[in-house]
Amino acid sequence: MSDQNEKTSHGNEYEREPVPEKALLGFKSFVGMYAGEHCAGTELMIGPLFVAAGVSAFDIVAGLLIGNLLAVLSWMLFCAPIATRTRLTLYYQAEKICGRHLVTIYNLANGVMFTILAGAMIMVATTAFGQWFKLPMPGLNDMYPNSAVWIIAVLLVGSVISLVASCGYKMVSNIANMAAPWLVLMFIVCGIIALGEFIKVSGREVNSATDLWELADKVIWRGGKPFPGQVKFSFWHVMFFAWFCNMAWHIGMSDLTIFRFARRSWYGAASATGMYLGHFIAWLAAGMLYSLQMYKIDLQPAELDALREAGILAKLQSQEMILTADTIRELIATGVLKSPPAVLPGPMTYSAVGVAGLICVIMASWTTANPTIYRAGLAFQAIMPRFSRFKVTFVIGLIATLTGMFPAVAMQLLDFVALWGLILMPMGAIIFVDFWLFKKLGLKSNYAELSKKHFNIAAGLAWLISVSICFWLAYTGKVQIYFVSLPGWFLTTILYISISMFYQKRKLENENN
Amino acid sequence: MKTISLIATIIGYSSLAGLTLSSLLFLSGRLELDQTKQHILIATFVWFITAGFNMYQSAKRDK
Repeated sequence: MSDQNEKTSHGNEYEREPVPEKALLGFKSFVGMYAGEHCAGTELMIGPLFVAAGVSAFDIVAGLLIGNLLAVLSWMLFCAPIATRTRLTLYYQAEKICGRHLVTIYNLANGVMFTILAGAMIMVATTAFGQWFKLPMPGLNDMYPNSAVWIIAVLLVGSVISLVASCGYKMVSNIANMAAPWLVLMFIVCGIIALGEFIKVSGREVNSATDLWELADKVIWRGGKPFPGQVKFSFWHVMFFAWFCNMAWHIGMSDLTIFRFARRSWYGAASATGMYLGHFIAWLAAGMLYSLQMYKIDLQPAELDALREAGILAKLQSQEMILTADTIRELIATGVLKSPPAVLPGPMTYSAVGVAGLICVIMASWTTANPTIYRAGLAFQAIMPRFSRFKVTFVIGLIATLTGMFPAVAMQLLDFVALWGLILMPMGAIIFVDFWLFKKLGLKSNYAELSKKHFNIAAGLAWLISVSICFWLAYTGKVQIYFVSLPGWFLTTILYISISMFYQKRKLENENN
Repeated sequence: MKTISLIATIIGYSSLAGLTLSSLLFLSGRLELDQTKQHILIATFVWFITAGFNMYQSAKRDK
């Protein structure tokens, strides 16, 4: 993370005033920050979960290229233009429009989401220690912790992370800065080694781009059915996921806080480094590591006996049988596997790059979990200012640790990330409409500030109704959660404009009377 | 001190280059997996030592 990010994450600079000219930063500051922030522990989970969701090579490559482009454009065209015009933090901008009480609810929602994400990262870090100390680890579809040893391991890892986060941000930020170039390269190196291993174990020769594509399409991302318990991902799923996984930041306007320091709005293009290094190369590399596990399954003697009895051992040894959705079902039916192979970044990276891989998992998850717990702590402390930051952050860290004991949090990361975007997206829609359209429609911008209200009912209702409808659509299966945020954005804008027209007009009439 | 910092920076970035080179040599079949893992681990230690040294130096300068 750059100095600029540290500054903004501390939240103690120009919190309630526009950033002055002298504090503006150049393009390079944003390039480094985005590259570092989006090569994080989450990437080690997301890439493999795409494989478990049965994506094909075309779906993942094309989906990520286009989805990430849309994400970069969202930063450039939605977030940065408002940020460079108002130069205010998201919280202050939202407070002017929505009022302090609604911003408190936003803080609460954001804090809860940051806490859950930190829990997932604590779980990821524990898989590295799990590999080191040969601990029993959870399965892909496990909801609850499956052993006391696992609970103790998560508790130990989580307590250390929480303590460090409570002590302050500076040390973690320094270590994150130090590790960033190495981490980015480690993700790339993992991908290169996984590719080399695939060439070896599949016996294919790769002498041209066509051969490489064949390997990707026929061996690495084979498409077909998803693993048992997972949702099938198509091109559209991948594209929308890549676009919306940071929705809270771009369309949701969280990064107003970052881009208020940018000299020009096109600096939003700097997010491309994070998208294409982290959300393209790192996701592909992590996916390859997981896919490689399907080739190199390490079975115990009892499992080999069960395979022999089921008459499929010979097939497996001749490598005719790769762990696809169908073969996994076959192995579960014969009792060889209890569930599909879990996404465990520790064992995955260890098998490819050894001990350095475990260090990579620990660094990636730790440098993600720590600022996340710190940010959640700040969000909750804003709601409960009488408690010290240390206490609040430590308690949040412990709650994150408890969350991390449940494997479902990390194994369902795709759904969680989509849900995060959905819940916080309406705030971005409200800011967008308030800034660009309200004056043209004859409505008052920054209505809460203007009317000295702590709660803008129009914004609150637009948020509540749109999230409720979207959530209902996703919950009942009418629209999958990965797609529902797009109509949700339009719904929020329509609701906010219509309710504001009614609400502001009525207020004006009451004042005139 | 400036010269030592410069040397540390050069060594650090060389270790990152070495880390990438090892993986490419493995991909081309010129290095075994176990050797590659060792190279990557050594490069990792070198990077963290040199980057840590430079960070310490810059913190000292700031003070």
